[in-house]
Amino acid sequence: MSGGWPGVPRVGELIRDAASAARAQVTASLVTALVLATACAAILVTAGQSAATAAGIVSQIDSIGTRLIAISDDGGASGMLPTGPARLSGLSDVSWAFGLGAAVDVTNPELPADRAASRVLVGGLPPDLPLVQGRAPRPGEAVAGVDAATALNLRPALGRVQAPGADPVGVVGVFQASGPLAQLNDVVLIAEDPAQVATLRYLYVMAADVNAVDPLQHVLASSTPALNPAALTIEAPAGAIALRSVISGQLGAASRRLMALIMAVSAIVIAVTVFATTLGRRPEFGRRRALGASRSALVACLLVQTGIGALAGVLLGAAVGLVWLQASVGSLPTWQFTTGVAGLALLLALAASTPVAAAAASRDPLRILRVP
Amino acid sequence: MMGAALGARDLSFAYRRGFPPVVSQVSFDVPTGAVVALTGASGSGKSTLLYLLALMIHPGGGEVTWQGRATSRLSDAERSRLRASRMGFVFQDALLDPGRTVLANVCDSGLFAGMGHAQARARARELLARFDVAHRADHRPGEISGGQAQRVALCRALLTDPAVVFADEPTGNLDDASAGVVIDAFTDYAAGGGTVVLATHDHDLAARCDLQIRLTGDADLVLTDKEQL
Repeated sequence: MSGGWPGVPRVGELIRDAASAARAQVTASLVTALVLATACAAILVTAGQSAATAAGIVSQIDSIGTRLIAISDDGGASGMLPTGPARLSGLSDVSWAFGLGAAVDVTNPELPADRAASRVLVGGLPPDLPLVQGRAPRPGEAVAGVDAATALNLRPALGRVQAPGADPVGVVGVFQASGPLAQLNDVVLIAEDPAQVATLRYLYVMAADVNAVDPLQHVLASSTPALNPAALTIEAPAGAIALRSVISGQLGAASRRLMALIMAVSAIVIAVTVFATTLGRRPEFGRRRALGASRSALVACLLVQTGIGALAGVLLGAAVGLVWLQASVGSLPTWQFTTGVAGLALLLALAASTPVAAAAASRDPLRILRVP
Repeated sequence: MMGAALGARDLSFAYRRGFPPVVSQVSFDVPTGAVVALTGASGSGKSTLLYLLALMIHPGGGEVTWQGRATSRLSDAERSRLRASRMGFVFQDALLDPGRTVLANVCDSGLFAGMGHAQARARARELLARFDVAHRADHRPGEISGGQAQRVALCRALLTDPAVVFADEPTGNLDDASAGVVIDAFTDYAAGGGTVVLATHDHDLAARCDLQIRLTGDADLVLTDKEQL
């Protein structure tokens, strides 16, 4: 005999046997594969497209700054302290924070006729002000927004800027902002050590997640260091957040309902197919029970066999759905959505087959094997 | 012959509660190394008794003993394990899977005995050669004769080298020559220490067996050994 465990097929042998049975029961395997392929493709083309559209709209809304909180001290009455960016960056749910001082006009000492606004920068250059030339500034150095750099004739050689009565400052880079920070493109930002700065006029805080914006607003009201915190104005894009929530919620719910309907119909078709197949295989089940298959081993054989057809169908359906979406819409759902749909379809096929397989395995083998 | 391979103790069985029993309180031993025939008219319960002994169905009362041990408390998994590793089956119409080759059909019993693919195929080829059907290994059951199919079924039953082979009307659909091959195979197998229990209404086959257990049709039986025949 062998070193295996009698009554329980080895996994490799079980898969080999199921593959062989799937080939022998080619019609049932093809029906299972086609049902799953159709379900997967239909879900991706309908619900997947909705999900991709929703993700696109949400992404566009996010690009206008649903996570950005602006703290301002327009009149300078609050005395917002330069330690704010460092303190707020350390909060959980905060991706980054930086502060800006009051606006001061600067010129290019080589071409003093043109002017642009400058502000002191505390807290480092954030990722949302990406450099298109040069490097990030160290204290005592400046970076210019693309419009300011053009206005001051700083491109491509960069050069220096100078405020009235102050020493010239070297410009080491040019940035180009988009979204809610695009207004900084016509400003020169002069990096300073917080110890050298008296007060800030603006403090920008990026929340790590859109859901953190609301609670973070309340935290910032008490955590922003200022001589008179009551005079601070804290602004978050409440309208954009609400719109984002409505769009993602409503489109998501519609997608889920459609997906559930397709899955339910597929489950019924698969269960009926497996049932019809098992009816014709009663002699095989009876014979295998006599040959030593336990009920659970028989169920496992049937499920693996269904799983092979289902897996082929899921892969085919996912491929067809994605190609269709790419060709017709030009956008694809996220890989999490795609693999989620594929995994769910596979599980559904197995779940729909399990009661049928269990019933087939429980049938009295004697009624099948006895010859009158 | 040595001790009992299996036995029945006050064994009873009815297909439905309230119906008359097909088997009623019968007791006997099946000696190791014997070919035992269960005989009787149609409906006398010989197939039922065969499947009771093979642990395929639960008795309504009494006990089937396997090598001296009671089996009534064994779970389905334990009974299946015992069938997979220690029992072989031959059915009346061979019951081969028409979608698979002869070789794959023989290997089928190895699947639940925990045999590896290569080991099962090697043993299957050896048996197919022994019963002169090796040249049909890659054919489908629909492409071979009834006698060849029953020899393939015999190979499947012997693949795991079982202690007991059960056969339900193994020669019922065979011509004399094919039946002779099957009977010879059983006697050879018993001569090698194996035990064979077969249900049959074939008097010639029964006459060649070491022991006959004749079911009388009133749920009772009569034992006759070869010397008495």
